[in-house]
Amino acid sequence: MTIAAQSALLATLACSFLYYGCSGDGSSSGSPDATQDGGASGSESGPGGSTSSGGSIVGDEPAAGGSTSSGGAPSDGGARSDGGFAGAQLLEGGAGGEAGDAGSNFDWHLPAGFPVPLVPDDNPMTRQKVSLGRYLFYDVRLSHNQTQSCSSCHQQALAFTDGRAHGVGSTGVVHPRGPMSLANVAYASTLTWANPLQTDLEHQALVPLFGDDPIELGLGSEDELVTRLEAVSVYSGLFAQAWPGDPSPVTVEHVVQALASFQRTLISGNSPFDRYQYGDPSAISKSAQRGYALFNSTDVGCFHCHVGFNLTDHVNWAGKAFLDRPYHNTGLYNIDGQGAYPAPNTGVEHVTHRPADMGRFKAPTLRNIAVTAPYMHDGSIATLDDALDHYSAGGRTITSGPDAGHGNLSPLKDPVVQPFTISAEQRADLIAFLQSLTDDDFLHDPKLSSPW
Amino acid sequence: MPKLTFASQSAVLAALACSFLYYACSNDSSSSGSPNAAQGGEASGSGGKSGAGGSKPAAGGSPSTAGARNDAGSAGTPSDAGSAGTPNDGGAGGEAGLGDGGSSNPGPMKVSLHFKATVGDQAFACGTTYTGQGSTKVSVEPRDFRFYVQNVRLLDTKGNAVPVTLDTRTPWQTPDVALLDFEDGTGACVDGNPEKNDVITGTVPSGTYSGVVFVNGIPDALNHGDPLQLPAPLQAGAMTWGWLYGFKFLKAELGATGAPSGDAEPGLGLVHVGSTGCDNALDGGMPDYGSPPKVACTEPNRNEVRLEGFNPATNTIVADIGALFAGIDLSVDNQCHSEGPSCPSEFAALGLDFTTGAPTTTQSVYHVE
Repeated sequence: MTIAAQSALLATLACSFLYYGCSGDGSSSGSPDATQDGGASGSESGPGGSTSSGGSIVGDEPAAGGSTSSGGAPSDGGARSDGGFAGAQLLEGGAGGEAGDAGSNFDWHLPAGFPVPLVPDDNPMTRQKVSLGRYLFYDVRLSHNQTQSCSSCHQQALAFTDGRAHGVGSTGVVHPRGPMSLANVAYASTLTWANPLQTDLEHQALVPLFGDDPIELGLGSEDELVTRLEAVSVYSGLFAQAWPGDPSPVTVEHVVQALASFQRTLISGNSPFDRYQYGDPSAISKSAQRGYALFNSTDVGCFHCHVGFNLTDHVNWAGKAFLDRPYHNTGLYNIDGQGAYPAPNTGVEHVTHRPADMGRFKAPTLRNIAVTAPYMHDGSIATLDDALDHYSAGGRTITSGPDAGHGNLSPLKDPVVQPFTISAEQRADLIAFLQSLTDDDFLHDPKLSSPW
Repeated sequence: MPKLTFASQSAVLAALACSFLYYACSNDSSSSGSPNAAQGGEASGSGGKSGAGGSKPAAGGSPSTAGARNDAGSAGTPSDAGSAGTPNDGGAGGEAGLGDGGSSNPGPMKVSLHFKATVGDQAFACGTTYTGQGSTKVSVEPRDFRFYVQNVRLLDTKGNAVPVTLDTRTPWQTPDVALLDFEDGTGACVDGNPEKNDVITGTVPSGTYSGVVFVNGIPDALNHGDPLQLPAPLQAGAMTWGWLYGFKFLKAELGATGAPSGDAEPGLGLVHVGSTGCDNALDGGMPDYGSPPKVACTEPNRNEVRLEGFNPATNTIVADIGALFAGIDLSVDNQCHSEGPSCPSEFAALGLDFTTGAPTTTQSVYHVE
């Protein structure tokens, strides 16, 4: 890392600490520039600009929406969406006669620097739906054999993962992939590891509920679930409160809408790193601070994909000017010298059948990454240390077995994944930074825990 | 996507001619024509949310007018495109009331297409054991057998394919698609339910028919709609294929009754057919967040079945799940989720090219009895 780059980084950091001040300095031009930097850094390797944009992990992307607002305090997340989606929600909520909280009035309690999540027009956020969704999320009645709920594989203490390399469904079927963290899932451009078709939580919920390859919750029909839920007294009140005036509110559509509403409240943004970003220089160790600088250096380059407030480039929010849904092949496999990944985990290719999509997966958020081991879509990397081995090699080499191959030589690898050399101390610094992203409040927030 | 053949163009013209003379047409079968027309109108209303409802209710037209329009509308509909508003729909409806011509075109008649599922030459039933199945001749028990049918046509004596206008028959049929369901939830059919359906009902122009053509599939416009908004039989459940934002067109499963050797998986033949190779960034654009994605798939995987020597009044269409798995070793776990090594054999049996997802001209699963 050069002195110049460090200076740029420091300047950006200073800006992000005081980011309302920054936007005040150039509210008409500064913020849009920052947005463009942030976008470009994902696909280009321009050293200066990308360092600077990567540096302001918290500052950059939220500022995109912020440029349309008055440049007020960081907590003005609501103002950012004025020009975008939330306006439509306001009309929608009013017209739809949603009782309780209208969607536009929903109090997200967003952390500093977080934009307002995008919410489908036909499912505005309400307290009542979130409350119902929480009951459903933790209810084993949502599985055919009543042994599993959503929370079986998405456990709060593990940032809504399950600690396994592969999920295990209600009938014991092993999933090809591991459950993804649901932290900040409201901001995901697309859902699951690599499926461009899944853009909303409502529809995505049908996959674990009804899917049979692999069987997850294993429900056979809509009637099965509706009949079961209608027999539970607590639900009659919860559904009625969420959809007042609806004579038969227990429907699968309402189930998935409530589940989606609850999941959109799984927002994690109060880690030590966030406190460091927003004014407490002692919130993370010196080692973690050095690790953060390395993370954003062009040599190591983690920021290329793990950028912005959610430490991923695969984000969307209300009023975002451009919908990005980038996927990356990181050279985790190269079993035929042509970049192949072992089936069925071929990434986006599995869905699109486009050869160029082989091995392309989402960059997951790094928030709470220290509690979501094992890593990668198939849990094939056990520790953060091993993950650094994969990236420092510019792609993993597997020496034997059916998956043997040199990932660093994959022709399909994203070119931003390049080998780098770091000392043992630097490695420890990077891991200290990653550990500083653990949000204990989120992992233990009673409002996100089982209500049963 | 199949082009409109000369034969089906003729059918369109015939149906249009009928609509000009709608009173004459409906006089031939006034008891059946009007209710069908009314049902068609209702169905298109509910299907309209997904853009699939083909024929909107006629504005001010009589029920029998709408019935004629339904004929014309579905006649002009290729199998893939769904029945979403073709020009023929509106044109026929608008002009029907003018009725100024006269010819002796036949009116509609009710038709029922009866299906029967078998395992080889034995009737299919959950909970029954069938010996000698698959390439290794093992004993199996059914686990599932359901499939969707679209674009049903009857072959007249000249070989013309004449579209059948499907009744709206909840929960089994809309004007666009029907579900045949042979499992009853008993035995090893653990994913199933008690309800079964072995018939497709609809109307065709009166006449003599000697063959049938149909497609296993769901029109595109419906296949990628929201299953929580679509009318039955397009419901969330065992036939949805959420990961590809669509439905399974066919779900057929036979489980071996013998215990597996060692710690091997139990023997299983499984075929789930649906459109694959899908994306939603169409026209270079991005998905429209918050609404069902505009999904397009490169492998449609819709097989077309053509059976000669079929008289709907006297014959039955037999769907032989044993023939579907004839080339599969059912003593081991052999699953085809429209991907997997066993698929080419089963796709060939259905009349599909596994590589392209296009229909072929030969199949071995269906025959006439």
